[in-house]
Amino acid sequence: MLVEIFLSTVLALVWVGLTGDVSLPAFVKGLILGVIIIHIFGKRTLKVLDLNIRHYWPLVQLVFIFMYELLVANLTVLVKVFSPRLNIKPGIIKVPIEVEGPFWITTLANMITLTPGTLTVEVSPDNKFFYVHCLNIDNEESIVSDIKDTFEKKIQEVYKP
Amino acid sequence: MSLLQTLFGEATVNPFLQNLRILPVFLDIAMVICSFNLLSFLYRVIKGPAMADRAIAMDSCGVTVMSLIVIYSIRQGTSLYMSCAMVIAVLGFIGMVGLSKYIQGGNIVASGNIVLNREEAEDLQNLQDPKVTEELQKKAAEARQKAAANYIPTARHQRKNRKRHHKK
Amino acid sequence: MALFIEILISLLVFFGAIFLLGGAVGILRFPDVYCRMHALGKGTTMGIICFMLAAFIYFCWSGVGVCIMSLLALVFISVSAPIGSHMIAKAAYHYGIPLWQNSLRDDLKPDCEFISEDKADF
Repeated sequence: MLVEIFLSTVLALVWVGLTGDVSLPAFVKGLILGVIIIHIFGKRTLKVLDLNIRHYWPLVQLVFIFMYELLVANLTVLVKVFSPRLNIKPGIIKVPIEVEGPFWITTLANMITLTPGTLTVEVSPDNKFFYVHCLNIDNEESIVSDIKDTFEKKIQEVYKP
Repeated sequence: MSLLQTLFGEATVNPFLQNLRILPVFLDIAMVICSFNLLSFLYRVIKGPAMADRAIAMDSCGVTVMSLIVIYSIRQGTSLYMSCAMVIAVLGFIGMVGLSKYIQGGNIVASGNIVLNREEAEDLQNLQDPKVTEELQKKAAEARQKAAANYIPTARHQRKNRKRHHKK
Repeated sequence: MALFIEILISLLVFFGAIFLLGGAVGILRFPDVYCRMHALGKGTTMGIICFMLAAFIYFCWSGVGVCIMSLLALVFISVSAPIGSHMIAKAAYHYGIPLWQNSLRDDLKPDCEFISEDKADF
């Protein structure tokens, strides 16, 4: 029930944004359309996002951690790009992951892509490993521990009951 | 009156922006930087050694045009251009996915192996070239079997097959 | 207050342009596709986020109206850009575009054949 309310509110906000008409009738119209759309198409999404109410707080935390890491990533890339001598040691390393489910694996891959110096290239067929391209593979342990400690723990906090 | 406005002479002037001092200067700087970005992406599109270079450069061209649109809409003081930016974002993403599928296998809808293209496999098998080794032929045969299993005849192919039967 | 908002918008626009410039210089300087993707994926995402926030604040401030579409474009770009760069990197690797000659290691190479065969019937 909670998920349906949340998703239909999001869809109503999207409707208001896309039509560019910020008023209460437009919001109600979008809400009705959202409820209809969720009842027709939303079974898979509902199954993925069917969370307890106390799991929404880690989700919000995840978003903020993500924004912070994105900012740090951009600053490090800027420093690397504008430094006069190109000191990069690129390479592809194999990172074991413990997250389950296609939605959360995609989320983790996106977050790794937007963090400093890492880019997901491929997922192993049994969904146990990421192949991550790094700009500097000198400190491999720190990269792996960074991924494990910040993102994976938070994502597991979100979806584990 | 900012620099670009005097140079090119815009049609309408945003009255709200005319009262400001700092923002027009920064908008000009951002526009100049974005044009430089477009030039450098264009260089990579022309020069780029691999196809993937060209693909990512084209995608970034889309993003840069989006940011130019945003700057222009701030200058003009109307939010009507934002829908253009949204459309460019959506189309850029779809184009990027299509291009990546194209680079990967030649098949845009079905993902898969490097040699899963049906015509390519047939060509490989029909070649009587000594350069084509046994291994490649085996691979092509496997690919052909896989493709035949997934093959759904379209109307055009059905017509072709019918003609062949008539000739026999 | 007005001066503060104006400076905030100016800084957002300026830093958005600088992040985009970082992506552009990165694509000119870095040696191979994968390194270029690092610069581009992050730089363009952050640049667009800055520009869209600037546009949103400016339209709210100048009385044009609340432009939620800019926030929607922000969310869409920040979700879709990493997916796009991930797909291009994967496609480039399976197409056989080599890593830079000075790359230190490549853990994907021994497993690559295995992966492409296993995912053929996806």
